[in-house]
Amino acid sequence: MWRRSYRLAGPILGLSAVCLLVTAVPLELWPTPRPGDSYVFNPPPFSAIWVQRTLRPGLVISANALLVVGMGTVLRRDSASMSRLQRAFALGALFGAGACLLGTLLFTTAGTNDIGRELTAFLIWALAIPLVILGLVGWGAGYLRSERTRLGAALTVPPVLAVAYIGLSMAGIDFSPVGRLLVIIPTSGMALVVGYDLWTDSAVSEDR
Amino acid sequence: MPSRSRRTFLGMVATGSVASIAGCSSSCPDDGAPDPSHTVEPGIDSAGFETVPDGSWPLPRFDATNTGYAPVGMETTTPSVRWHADVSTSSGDGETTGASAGVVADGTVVLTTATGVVALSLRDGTEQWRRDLTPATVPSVVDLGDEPAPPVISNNRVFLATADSVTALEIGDGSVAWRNTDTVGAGVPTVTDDALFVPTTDGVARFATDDGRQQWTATADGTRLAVADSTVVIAGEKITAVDAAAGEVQWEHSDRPSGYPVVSDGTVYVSGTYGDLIGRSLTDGTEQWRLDDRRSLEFPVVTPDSVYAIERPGESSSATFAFDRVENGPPVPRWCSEINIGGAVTAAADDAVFTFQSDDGLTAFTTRLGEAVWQYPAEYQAVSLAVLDGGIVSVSPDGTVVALGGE
Repeated sequence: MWRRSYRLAGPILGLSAVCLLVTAVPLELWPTPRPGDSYVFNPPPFSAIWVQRTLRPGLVISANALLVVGMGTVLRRDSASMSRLQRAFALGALFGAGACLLGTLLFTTAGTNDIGRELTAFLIWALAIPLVILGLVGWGAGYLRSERTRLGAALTVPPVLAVAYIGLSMAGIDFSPVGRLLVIIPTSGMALVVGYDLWTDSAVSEDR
Repeated sequence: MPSRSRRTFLGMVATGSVASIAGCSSSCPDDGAPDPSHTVEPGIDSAGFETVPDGSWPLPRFDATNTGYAPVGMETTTPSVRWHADVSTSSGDGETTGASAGVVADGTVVLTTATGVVALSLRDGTEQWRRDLTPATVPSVVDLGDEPAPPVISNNRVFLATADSVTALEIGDGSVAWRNTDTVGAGVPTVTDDALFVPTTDGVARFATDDGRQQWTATADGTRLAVADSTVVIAGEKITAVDAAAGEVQWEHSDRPSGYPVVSDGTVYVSGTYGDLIGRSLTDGTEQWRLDDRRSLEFPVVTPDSVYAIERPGESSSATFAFDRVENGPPVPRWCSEINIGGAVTAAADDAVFTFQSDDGLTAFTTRLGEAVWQYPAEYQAVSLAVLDGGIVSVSPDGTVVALGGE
């Protein structure tokens, strides 16, 4: 039964990746009306404005939640074979991801001029994101040391790229219009690889 | 996580801090001033319109109902300055008191100044005629202080409320058609097909347009009027409705309206005491709806399917709001655009709504989704706009008259 739950987490992580990739579709490819000079109160469904305001935040929240569930399953599966340090990094990453989810919820549900809620969300992100980055790198490094290269690379490469992107952006380098893709695509890749690992590992276990 | 640049984040923190200190800000979720597709250059390529715009704007707010809406189109998304004229606004003692809103008919632009009435050619802005007189003054709708009461045009005549009379001039040459010196003008006149209504020092009076004969005077104070469905609506300390035929007061309410009362489809639109936008029945004055979830809505412009207004919360950014008109209820917001402090929605056409704001000048938005199509930078806040079929005439408080349009 435990193996079945591990296997379910594979498609969950796959769905998380799909959600993230949909958010990467440029608004210019969605039907008009597009975001412009004014705030439109009731945009038509599936218009670019609707996508920006409703679909994207929903997908980001869903992807975040599914990622937490999926990565939590990986931790539960591998916890017994991890070192104490690796386990600590993993817990840190999951805690940070959960906090990121909370921050995202706060930000997307903030009303007009609800500066307090938005600032709280930014504060949570400011604390959670470093935790996620460090946690994933440490977690992945543990897998690399135990020669589980695919899993290790999947967990370490995205946060390293994210740090590079944030650092270079703050230094003034403009990555638009591809900046968001530099974060979304590696994260989606991580979710797909980890999900595949869960699915195939479960399948191998059942064959035994 | 939605991506936010550091600059946007810091800007948000700064904006939020200022807004918190100020205590109020626009309720529009829009972030940032509009970015128009075209900016009108201040220079003039060739003086005058090659094709004079059709249509007219015979009253300060287009018609006697003050909707501020002309059923015409600009026909260009990249207008240019066709001509500009400077009209002297200094009174005899050198004290400048400004210029009135401009009205346009029969190829002529007419406006009043501190010392008289001036007529300009719509084609190229050249002065056609000028008459020395002292117009009545009214509280400015866009600024502190008073401004000259604007004229109105009907049937080839210009009607004026002056400090010592009610006067009609022939639009062709400015000659006096008639002058009624039995009363003193005290507000902005309005005219229908068969009657002239003028706020006077004795109340609101009705005059025959052909000979200036005074027909009745209603004991109602106010400086701006609207006339619709045989009812005269007067905006003063109160909002008052008077029967247009007999001059009898039908109803009144203590809304302390600001600006022009607007009437459309049996509803009187009033900017009330606390900045609410109120819809009252023209028939009996009962309140039909009230928009009180915005911070001070002013200067409503009403089209057959929309209401446009400025939200002016005070010492903070304003916003242009567009509302959908609905049956049996308050207008529903459709879009809004943040603009600088101050501003006024001045007019609308079929394809555009025009907002004047401090520092940025005149901006034309699309009516449906509020896209900023073009902007004419100006350092003044316009007294008025006259929207014609293919052109616009704006008048500034200091007497600068500018015509914009296509070829």
